[in-house]
Amino acid sequence: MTGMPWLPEKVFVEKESQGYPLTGRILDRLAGIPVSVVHSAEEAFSDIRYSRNPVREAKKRLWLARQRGSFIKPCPCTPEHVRCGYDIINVNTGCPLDCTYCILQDYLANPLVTVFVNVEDLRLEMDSYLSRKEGRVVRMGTGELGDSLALDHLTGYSLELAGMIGGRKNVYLELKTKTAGIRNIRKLDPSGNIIVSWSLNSIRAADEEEHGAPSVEDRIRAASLVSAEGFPVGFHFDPILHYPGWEEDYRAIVSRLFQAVSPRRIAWISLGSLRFPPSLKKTIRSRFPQSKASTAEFIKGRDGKCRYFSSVRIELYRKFLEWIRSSGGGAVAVYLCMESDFVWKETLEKNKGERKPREISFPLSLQRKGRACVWSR
Amino acid sequence: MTFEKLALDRIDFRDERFRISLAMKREKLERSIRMIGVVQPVTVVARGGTPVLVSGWKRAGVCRAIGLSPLPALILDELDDLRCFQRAIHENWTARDLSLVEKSHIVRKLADFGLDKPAIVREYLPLLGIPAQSAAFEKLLAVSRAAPGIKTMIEVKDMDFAAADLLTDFSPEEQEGLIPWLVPLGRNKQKEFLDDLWDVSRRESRAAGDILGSPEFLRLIASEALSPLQKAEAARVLLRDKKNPRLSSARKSFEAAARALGLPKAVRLEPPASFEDENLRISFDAATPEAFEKTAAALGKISARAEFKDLFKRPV
Repeated sequence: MTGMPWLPEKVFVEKESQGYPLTGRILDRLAGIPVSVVHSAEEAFSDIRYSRNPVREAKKRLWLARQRGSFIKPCPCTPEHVRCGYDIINVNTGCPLDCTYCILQDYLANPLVTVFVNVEDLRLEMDSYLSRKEGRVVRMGTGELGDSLALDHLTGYSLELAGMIGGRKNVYLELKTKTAGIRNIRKLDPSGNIIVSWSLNSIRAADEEEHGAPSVEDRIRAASLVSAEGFPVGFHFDPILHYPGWEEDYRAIVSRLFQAVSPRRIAWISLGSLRFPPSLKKTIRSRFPQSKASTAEFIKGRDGKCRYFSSVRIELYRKFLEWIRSSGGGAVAVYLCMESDFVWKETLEKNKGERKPREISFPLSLQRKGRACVWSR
Repeated sequence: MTFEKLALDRIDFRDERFRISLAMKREKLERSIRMIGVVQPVTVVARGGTPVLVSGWKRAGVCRAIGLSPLPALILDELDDLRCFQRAIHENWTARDLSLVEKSHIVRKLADFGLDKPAIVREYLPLLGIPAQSAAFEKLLAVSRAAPGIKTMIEVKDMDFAAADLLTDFSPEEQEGLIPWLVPLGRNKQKEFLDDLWDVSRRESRAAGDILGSPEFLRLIASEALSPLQKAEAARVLLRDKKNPRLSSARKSFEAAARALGLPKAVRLEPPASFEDENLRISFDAATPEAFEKTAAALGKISARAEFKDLFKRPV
């Protein structure tokens, strides 16, 4: 994908999804690209299912279909670890990027890049959902089963979603991406409750493991532009990889980030180290034999996932926290993603001055049994 | 299709196009044929005017070895090689468990006979108990192309698909070098060995042969005190510790600290799984209430010691 917006080689439209306005808009934007109308994702995938690399082939195809289940779901998090209280909006699944460590390779039954076109159903569901949550802080986002902005030039979902939550001050919509696709974002009013966030990594990790993603510098540049226009921005150092030289590489990125983006504009930074279900290892090895990501020392975590040894995770997070604090991010909220109580405590609670919860509304939704899970100075 | 008694010397045994079985073990069959003759006819089809075997390679092989001729045969009038081979597959598949190498030959020959890959993956891999995936198809092809020594090891050690999958990730030269290490080990330990070797090799950007040629492994090979199994086992542990230095070190430290406590012999003390939670497992058996009280009292004393409390601290 690199810097160019993604375009599919073929578009498949579910027969029942033809009449939806979003289907029409997407097809207009993809004029000239072959379109087939079929009955199922299975049919759209059938001729590549047994190709040498079906996952990669599927990333060249766009599947337009209806979301038959709920669009909005609570983040499943991971068993036995601190929960985040986040809500996921599934407007698309699958991703044109091809990161070696991506869980979606194993997780999704349908590997096609999929956009759900029944926007009106989402609107109704969102109204109903948010009216039930009135008075409570809601953090929600679309970047769980796909990149929030990688398809935005085709779908315009960022604009749709902004319209759906507009005016509700208790709702924070996060659009999480590895791309620089911010054209639609810049059309929005930076109201404060739309947070655009970037998944960042070291330059080496991005080069070696995040195939098809724009460079880290491009991501930071996009974040800089968006934040300069008044949007709060977030950053997710996730997955952090532990490899010889990690410290220098990641310190440089944290430093670069704070050169480019004012800390006052940073809503939050999350940290998460590489973790994956054991079955993904075989997929990584088969699809990316050159990747070193899954060859590190891993233990089996309490959720059954492969994780770095706890002392490594604590070391990674402590260093990040130190760099963030010393780079001007003294007041920036930092949280850990899918981590254990023990690692939370060792990383944050035991660090001097990291106990005070940030006094803005969103951390309230991260509270668990009275203990705030977002720390800042 | 006709039935006839076919003289062995009429069959062209050099033509192995339909052959599936490797016929490594046939003592039982030989005993049976010597006792009662060939019960089940072999199947042949004429190619170039000469009968070639479609199925029954083991039976025909035994007959050749003991000089029994003619043997009962079903003569097919099928011109299409693929259809003949499909018949051979089904005859074998329904009659016995196929080895992994045999499965790999089936897949390669189906492809050679012109069946397209999607059909093989969709229809035949599930039949063979292999995941219906393109990657699995490629792996079976790799097994079919492996060197004879590798195929023999896979056959003799009854390696499963998962182990062969790991093995064929290594280059053919590397595979040859792995034979002495893998042959003594059981299936699960073979997989662990291969998985750890791959990870260390990738992580350190070193060839597998380079790692296994390092002094610590060479010392094992040269040892006269160790059996092949002990050597392979020691190599597996070396690799495991190389792959997992922190976990290995934490376990060793824990074990040393536990030993230093001088626990009663009946007591077993295990660290938390992967050191991810707080729970030590402390257990002991007691045959009598007195034995229980004695061990519990000893543990009570030990639990007051600082070294015991330190065991509950996780590595940070």
